[in-house]
Amino acid sequence: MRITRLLLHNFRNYGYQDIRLTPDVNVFYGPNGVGKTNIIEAVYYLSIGRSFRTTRDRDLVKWDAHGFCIYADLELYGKQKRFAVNYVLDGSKRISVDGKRAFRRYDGSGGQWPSVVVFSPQDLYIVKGPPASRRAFLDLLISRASKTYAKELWEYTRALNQRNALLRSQEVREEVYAIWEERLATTGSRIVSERQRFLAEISKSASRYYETLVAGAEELSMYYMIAGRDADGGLGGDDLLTATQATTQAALQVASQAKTQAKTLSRTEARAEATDPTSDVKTSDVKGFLFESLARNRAKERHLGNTIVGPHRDDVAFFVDSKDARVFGSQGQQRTVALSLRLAEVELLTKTTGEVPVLLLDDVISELDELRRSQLLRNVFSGGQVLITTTSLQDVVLWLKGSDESTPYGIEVFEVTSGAEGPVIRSPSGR
Amino acid sequence: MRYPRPILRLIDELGKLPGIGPKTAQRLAFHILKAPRADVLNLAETLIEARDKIRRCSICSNLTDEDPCAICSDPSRNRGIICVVEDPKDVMVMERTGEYNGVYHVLGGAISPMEGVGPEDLRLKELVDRVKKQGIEEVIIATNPDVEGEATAMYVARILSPFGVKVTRLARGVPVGGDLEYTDEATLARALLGRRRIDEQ
Repeated sequence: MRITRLLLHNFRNYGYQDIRLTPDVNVFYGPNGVGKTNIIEAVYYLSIGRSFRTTRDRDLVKWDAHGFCIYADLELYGKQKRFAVNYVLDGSKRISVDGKRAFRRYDGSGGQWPSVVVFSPQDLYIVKGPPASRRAFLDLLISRASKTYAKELWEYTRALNQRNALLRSQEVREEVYAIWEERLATTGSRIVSERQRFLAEISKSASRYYETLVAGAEELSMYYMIAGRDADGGLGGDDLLTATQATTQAALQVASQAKTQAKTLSRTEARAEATDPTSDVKTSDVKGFLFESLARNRAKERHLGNTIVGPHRDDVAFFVDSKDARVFGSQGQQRTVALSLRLAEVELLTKTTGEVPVLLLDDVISELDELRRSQLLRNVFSGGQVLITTTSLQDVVLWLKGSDESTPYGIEVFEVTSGAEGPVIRSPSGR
Repeated sequence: MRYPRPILRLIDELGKLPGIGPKTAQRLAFHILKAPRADVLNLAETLIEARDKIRRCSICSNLTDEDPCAICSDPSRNRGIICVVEDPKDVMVMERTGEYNGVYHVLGGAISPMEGVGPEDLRLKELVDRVKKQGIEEVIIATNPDVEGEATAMYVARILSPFGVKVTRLARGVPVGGDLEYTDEATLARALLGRRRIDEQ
């Protein structure tokens, strides 16, 4: 997929902006705070239906306007399409394709929908942040690749809220709890198995990318941690600090189990097993575990007024060699893990949608060292369109030109400065 | 300036109706004030009549003007089959299919702890009594296919299990006359799970 033209109207600090993009690399450079990221945000919004910086659509409207529009002319599955999003402050949102209204949940991006992957400095929190940020990463990824997942997740959350309401009521009867717990166990185990399946899928490519990014110096592995079984999902919950020790130990245990298992298997099988030690755990086992834990923890949970086991408490552990990268990783390692995950996301989306997604690189280049930068370049430009924002043009241009003697792709540079009426965008070629 | 008391009261009362906000209540109130006295009297009488004459059927809890209701007292109906629904509107929907010849049981809602609705707030005891007393061969649970409806269905199945009665649930799947291409993925996935051998139809 490639965007040929992007038009913003009353979006963030843009009053009216018409941008003609090249099908290859588009660099937006300028000082901080002029509105470079807003361009990337608009493209992301068009694809996902929400921003990656805020959950409130009203924040995206220019301060003196009543709503915003984003138009994009793009080439999708070999066809020219015009996508438009129209948001009005009263909360109504209208998405249209070639002038016809399209109804779609933000998630089902498979099929004929523009797909993007954003690389931003906030990606660090996928690794460093609370478990919720890792679940959010995985959930959004799966929702974009599987159409039934979002609904499953919604049903689970609904049943969870119902059980939590029950925990806070006077109700104590077994049979009343059982109906919600049965639903939680059923939908919950399906969510867990989908997450495990997708994690196993991206784990392979992410580990491969990690190895290239660090030139084979370290090894990345990742494990799905079921709350209350693999990790201390109890009182610690989302508080990483209190749960750290128990989680790390549990993760190491999972990892060492995987290694022991791997030894007994043939070499090719071993490789597959090691990347996903939980692959032998069937949905029915998880269902049984969830059902049993929900019943067992009821008294404690009534006290807390919250359900403490289930996919809403699960986590993903990232290991660099044998160190838990979530807690003990250096900033650089955490950043590289996040980068590898994003690259794996690109690969997964390319596979599931059959189109190379547009890559949005928001100010990530200046944060990487020479080696990672050149490795990123080699991995990123697999023929897709790229939008880059940066404060230092030199960094990017050196990076782009230095990698290859002859650049096989076109580069367009847009200079973004602030004017009286909002940002001003100029490009040498007069686009 | 404020409205005279009778108008204020009228607006107030109309505003208590579901879906009626202050603006609509005001518009309705002025409409009533402008209408001929006979029309207003007619409306008032209709309200009272409906309220006084409509009751719950003592057997199935459906809304009715005679007890037992027309369906429960119809001799051509198969009383061995009970269709359990959430509310009276669902009875009308089932009736419109023209395919169902059994009787009904209206629960009066679905279990939802978030809204403070527990099993004792539904007419479940009455259902159990019916199953115990009469020779019921099948109970069809036709609660909504949402999270609360599913949980309620499971609860009903649970409390009926000691009586050895056959309990079934409405099938879910592709809409009749629909195009596979336009069926949403979640529905299609469920339909796939609940597929049947072609000779069972």
